[in-house]
Amino acid sequence: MNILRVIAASCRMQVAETRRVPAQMLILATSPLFAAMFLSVMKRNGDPTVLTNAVFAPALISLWFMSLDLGGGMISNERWQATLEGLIGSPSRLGAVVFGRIIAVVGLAALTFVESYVMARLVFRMDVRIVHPLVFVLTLVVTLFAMAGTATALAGLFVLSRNVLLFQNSMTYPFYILGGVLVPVSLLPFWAQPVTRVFFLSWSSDLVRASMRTDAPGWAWQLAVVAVLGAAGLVGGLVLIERVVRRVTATGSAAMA
Amino acid sequence: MSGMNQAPTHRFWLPNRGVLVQSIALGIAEFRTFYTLRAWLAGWFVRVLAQVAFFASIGLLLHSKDQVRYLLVGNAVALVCLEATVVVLTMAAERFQGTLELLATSPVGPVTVLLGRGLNWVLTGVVSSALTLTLLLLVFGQTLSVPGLLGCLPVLLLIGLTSHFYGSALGAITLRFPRVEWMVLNVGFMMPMTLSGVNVPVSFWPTPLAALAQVFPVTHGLAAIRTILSGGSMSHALGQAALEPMVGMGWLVIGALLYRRMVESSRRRGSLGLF
Repeated sequence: MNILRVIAASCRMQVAETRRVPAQMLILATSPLFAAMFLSVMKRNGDPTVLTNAVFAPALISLWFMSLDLGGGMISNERWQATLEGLIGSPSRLGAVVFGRIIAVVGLAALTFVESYVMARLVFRMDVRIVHPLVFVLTLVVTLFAMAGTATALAGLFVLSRNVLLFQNSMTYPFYILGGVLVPVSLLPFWAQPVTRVFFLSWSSDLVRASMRTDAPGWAWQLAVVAVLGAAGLVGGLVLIERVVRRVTATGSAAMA
Repeated sequence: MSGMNQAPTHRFWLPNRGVLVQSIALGIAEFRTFYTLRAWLAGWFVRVLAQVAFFASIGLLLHSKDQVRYLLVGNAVALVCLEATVVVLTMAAERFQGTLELLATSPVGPVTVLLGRGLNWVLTGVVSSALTLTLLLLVFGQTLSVPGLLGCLPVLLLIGLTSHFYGSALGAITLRFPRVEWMVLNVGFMMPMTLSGVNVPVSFWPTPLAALAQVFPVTHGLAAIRTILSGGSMSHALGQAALEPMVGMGWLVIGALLYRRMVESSRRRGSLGLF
């Protein structure tokens, strides 16, 4: 089966599942609350230049949360539902199925960008201007790809653990800081900054903010960094998932968590 | 079956200390299967430290040390609410584990059990809040008063209990609609985080939202803690702290009534064991 057809079919399957279980998209309910928290602080205290930091932070948070929650837990959930054996037994590659489903997850999660914009413009009456729409759109596309690639790696990693929820819980806020989603990583201690730069979200956050400023120098190479880090995550994830498949097939432990 | 159809209302909530103690023990046992001390420290505690540091760092962006303190204290206190509302998940878990039917027909009734099961989260929430508050005040170079911090502990416990009753009331919704458990939990603890004076004063919000904040957990307890930490009027702090359990009692009554309604409705539909 052609790999692109597998990815497309998995993507459709995930959309169908999410339509059946709308609670999977809980970020659509929490993202406006994050927006209300951030924008209220900025509006009460901030000057207009820092207000822009808060506008799309809820969307970036929601993307990462969905990658951890639905994306990272994907293979583990199949295991719990006793459907992993069937997936491994099918002719399609598990990595392609996972990546296809994760594309659907992050694609749906991108709706929170619309929510964030609406909250800032209509609820908090902010003057939100995307000065460089091309930079913004390209950043969104490349970030979604990087998010899907990284979530694929997480899906491969998390399946090795018996306590996935612990990892999903633990990797939220530390990564919001490292990703500079609200406060730029340049404000972090100097020793932390190199660490943040291997996390694609730190570049994406800078780019989203840059698209709202009059100057956006060096955006092209920053986009390239996001794409490379995302591709690295995807390749690493696919290799890891392949190894997991080989291991559970050899040990007969696909149904055991 | 006719006996089953007539819900034993007099038994719906029979306070029973033994059952309550057993329920608490069950909650602690469940907690220990999920967390070892190392997993709690390296997983959960690092996350809550990061959560509060994340919000406090907005103050750095605003170049305001006062804002750092305001956000740090508010979000550290909100942690106890976050953890105590995890009780929402234990409600749906009864259904997933197939034990809700047994609880509904037990002589004691489900309310005592359901209220006891998540109390362990109140205790861990107080620990998370107190440790985070202390550590991050030091990390962010804020002034720290040991008597003040000790004075916060009973108020944190009150906030935890109020949040537990609030979470229990929300959890009743998941008894009927278990698939929305995570949605109810997340929206549930984020509402006080948004409106209860955690990030901005309650007065920032329009009047209807500010009025709504008065019946959420955290609002009054946090006001008391801010007063204690700033060395303000003790009578004001005590007055605010006294309002917190009153809010909690309100949620306890709402929760008990909702349990009754949700369980009886599920019994009538024959869907207690379904999800």
